[in-house]
Amino acid sequence: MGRHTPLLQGTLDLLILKALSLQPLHGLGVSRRIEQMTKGAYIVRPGSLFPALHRLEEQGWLDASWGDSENNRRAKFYRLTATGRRQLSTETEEWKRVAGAMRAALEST
Amino acid sequence: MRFLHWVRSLWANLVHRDRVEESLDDELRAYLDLLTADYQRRGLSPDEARRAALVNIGGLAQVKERTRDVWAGDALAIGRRELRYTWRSLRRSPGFLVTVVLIISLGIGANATIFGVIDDLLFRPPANVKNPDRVVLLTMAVPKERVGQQTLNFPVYRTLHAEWRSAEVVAIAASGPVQVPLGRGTDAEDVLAFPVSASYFRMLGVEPERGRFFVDDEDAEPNGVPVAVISDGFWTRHFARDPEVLGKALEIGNRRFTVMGVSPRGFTGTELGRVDLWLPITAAMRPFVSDNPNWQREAFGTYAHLFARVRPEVPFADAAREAGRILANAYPDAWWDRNDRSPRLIPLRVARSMNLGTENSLLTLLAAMALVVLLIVIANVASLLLARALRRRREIAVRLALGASRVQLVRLLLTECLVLSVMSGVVAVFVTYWCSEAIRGLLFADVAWSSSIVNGRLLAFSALAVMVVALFAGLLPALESTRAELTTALKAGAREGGGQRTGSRRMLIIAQVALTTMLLAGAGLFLRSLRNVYALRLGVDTDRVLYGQMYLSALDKQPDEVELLTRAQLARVRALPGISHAAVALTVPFGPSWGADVRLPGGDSLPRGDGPYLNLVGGGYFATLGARVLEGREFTDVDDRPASPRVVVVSAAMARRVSRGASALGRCIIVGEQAAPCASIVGVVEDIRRQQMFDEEPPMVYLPLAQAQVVPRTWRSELYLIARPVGDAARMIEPMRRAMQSAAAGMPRATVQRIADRPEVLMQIRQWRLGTMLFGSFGVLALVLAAVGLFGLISYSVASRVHEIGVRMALGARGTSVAGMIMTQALVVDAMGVGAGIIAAIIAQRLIVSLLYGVSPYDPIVFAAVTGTMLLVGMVASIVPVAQALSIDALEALRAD
Repeated sequence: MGRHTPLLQGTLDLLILKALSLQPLHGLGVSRRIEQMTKGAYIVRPGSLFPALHRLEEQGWLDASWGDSENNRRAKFYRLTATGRRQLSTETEEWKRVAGAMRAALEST
Repeated sequence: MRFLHWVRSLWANLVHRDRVEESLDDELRAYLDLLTADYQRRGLSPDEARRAALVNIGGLAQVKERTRDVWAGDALAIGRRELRYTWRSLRRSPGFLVTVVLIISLGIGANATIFGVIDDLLFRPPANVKNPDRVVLLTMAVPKERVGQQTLNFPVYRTLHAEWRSAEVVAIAASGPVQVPLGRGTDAEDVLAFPVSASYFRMLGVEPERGRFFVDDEDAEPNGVPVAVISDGFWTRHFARDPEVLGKALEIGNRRFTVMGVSPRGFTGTELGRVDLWLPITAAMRPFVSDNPNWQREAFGTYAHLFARVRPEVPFADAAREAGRILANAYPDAWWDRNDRSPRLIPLRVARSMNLGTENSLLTLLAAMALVVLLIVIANVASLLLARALRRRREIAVRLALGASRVQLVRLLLTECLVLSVMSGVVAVFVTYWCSEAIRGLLFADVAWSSSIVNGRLLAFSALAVMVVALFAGLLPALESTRAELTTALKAGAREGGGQRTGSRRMLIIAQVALTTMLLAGAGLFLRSLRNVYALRLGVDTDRVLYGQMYLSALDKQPDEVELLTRAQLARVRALPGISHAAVALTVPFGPSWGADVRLPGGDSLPRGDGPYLNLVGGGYFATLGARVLEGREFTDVDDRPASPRVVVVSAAMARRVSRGASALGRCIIVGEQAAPCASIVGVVEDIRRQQMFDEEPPMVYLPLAQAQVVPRTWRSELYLIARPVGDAARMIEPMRRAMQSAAAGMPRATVQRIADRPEVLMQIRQWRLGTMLFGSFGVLALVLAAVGLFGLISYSVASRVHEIGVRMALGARGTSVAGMIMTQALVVDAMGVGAGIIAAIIAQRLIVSLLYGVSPYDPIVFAAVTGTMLLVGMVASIVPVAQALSIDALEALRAD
């Protein structure tokens, strides 16, 4: 766990939504998926992961249900709701705009 | 949609908190297990894998805590955990629990009781009355009198009914319900009948529950039709809600009234008290209220209330002016319409409570007082909770050090406060019930309450009060105590609480003592007023004299027959053991009264207006009342014979009118008609009250009953018996009643009462009884609270100074000086409170001064007594702490560190 890129404010929510866009995952699954998606740049610790999951659930972007995990351990699985999916696309658009603007700004001479 | 979602999770978090907590537990355990399995797959041993997973998660409790923080409504959530914890800690200190619950419930109960009384008497609109704000009582304003002349008469009604354009409907009613005999013999009972005009119900806009109200023809002059409307209560009581009640006859006196309708439940119309039935005024005024056959024509007497519904667009002042013009035209010579008097319209809501005999300002004052008590309660509970929280400072510091968040701790302390408040609220409902029942029974027995004691509004009020107490009493100590700095609190040397912490408690206690002092001063002033009222010389010992009455007038008996019957009853009553005097009389003090023409031989009539008034009495009347004979003698049974020489007794005020300074004894006066013989004055008695307890010295003329041919016979259709028992008057009520009944078989039920219990008397002193009782009980309650508060403060201070006191004693301080030190501390706080209270009482005196009687609001005796009581309480409250201090073992105290 050597590399440590600090998470920008608000990016965690977006990463979680993105991580869940393919399939429902449990907490550890979300954490693994984010690590994999960011090629190990981000490691989400439980102390940030669970509050974020619960917050998104309360906002209605995620839905949770109990199911069996890979080694038959019961775990709580999160899935994107319809509003969550909409939120993911708006936030993605937003992020792309910001990132594009930032790149343009930083590459300008 | 999102909001709905939020509400759903809020619900889950607050209500199914345990399920939510459990789910979080499972979720994290699953995470841990899965991670452990991961590590194992990467080749770690099970133990190493587990450890690595735990390291990764980094403190299960913190993760949970941070997750909980995002839950909706988390700060409010009180789970089973908190409740269990609170219950455990409260059970450990039952004394504290009981004290707090008692204090809060008494405070809230007192407030709710007063709220209930005021709400019902002043704020509830009269039941079933349509748009009551347009209904008024027409009074004649009298300069410098708040209430004015309230009663008028039938001719005025007739005139206004015909001419008063500002009024939609004008109605007339007797000045109050009258007791009439229903039935005869053993089944006889007295019921409250209210003679009203047919327009009365129309004026109020009320709809009957069954049948109909009176039509105008049933109330036509002169004698109307004997019909009746009965109340819902009477329908239940007397007819068991018989659906066939319409058309049934009620035998009232010797007439039969036919039931035409039933009024809706709770309807009392313009009255605050119970009414059993309404009768057309033309059919019932005579004989139930008056025996004057000319009552519909004479505009002289005043005996009835005039009500009107004023047209919606007309201001009351304009309507009153119009009525003034009409009356001035029609009755230029009427005494009640002199130049200085003019009509004033009083809204029904005010008029109803006006006759209660309690000024509205007194009720307002009581409400203010109840709030003061609530403040004391809050201060007291806050200070108790604060003390408790300070005692737990170390525990709290340890919890903070172990990572509990401040929000959590505040939640815990608030939970405790909430649990206490809810328990107190439940107890308070019972307290309210008992208090209200006592007040309603003792002080307002004549009021028909429109609502039951425990009603929705009252519960809402109590719940609000509980919340206010919980919030104010709980939040401050909670915030204060969790501010504890970790290090100081944990350091063993710094014992419980420093000086600045007791500072805020001291202020609370001083405020409490001050408020208590104010209440006690108020109670003292009311008590002195009440004693002054009781000490008034009325010319009659109202609490020692019984009067008995049988409603014979309703039977249309001949006066001679009535007299014979009453004298037979008198003989039986006089023969009773335990009766020292008894006499027969036309009327009694605070009963009805008759005016009389009195002339000196060869002279003009003495001016009428305020008297002279006439009473016809038998031998021994004045001795029975307990009135002093100032000159001459009173009547004997010999005087009370038709053939005896004409004699008369006059009151002191009358004697002054007759003789202007010289002795009236032996003078001759003519009472009644022109041809009446001259009667010589054989005695002068002190002034005996006619109707008013205060400032009344009516000129009275007394004739022997048997010589009363001078007055219209109809006046004598009903007589009173009065009797003076030897011992407790109340014990002789039933024997006297039975004696009267036994002498008059087949007659209506006899009524026997102490004169002091007549509604006319009770009403006039209710103000002081109410004030004394409520100020007194609030004062005592506040006193107990102040004592508890003071005791808590001092004993807490002793407990936190064990070390210091130990050192002092080790250095040779004697017990007396330690005791003096603690006592002084208590008395300084006490005295500061008393001083502040006296100043506040003096500032607030103008709220109360108009309600006192014969006592200055600065009465030194009252203030001295209050100061003494408060200082005594201060000393008593410090006895136990002093004993605690003296029992401190110096060595123990020093070794404890």
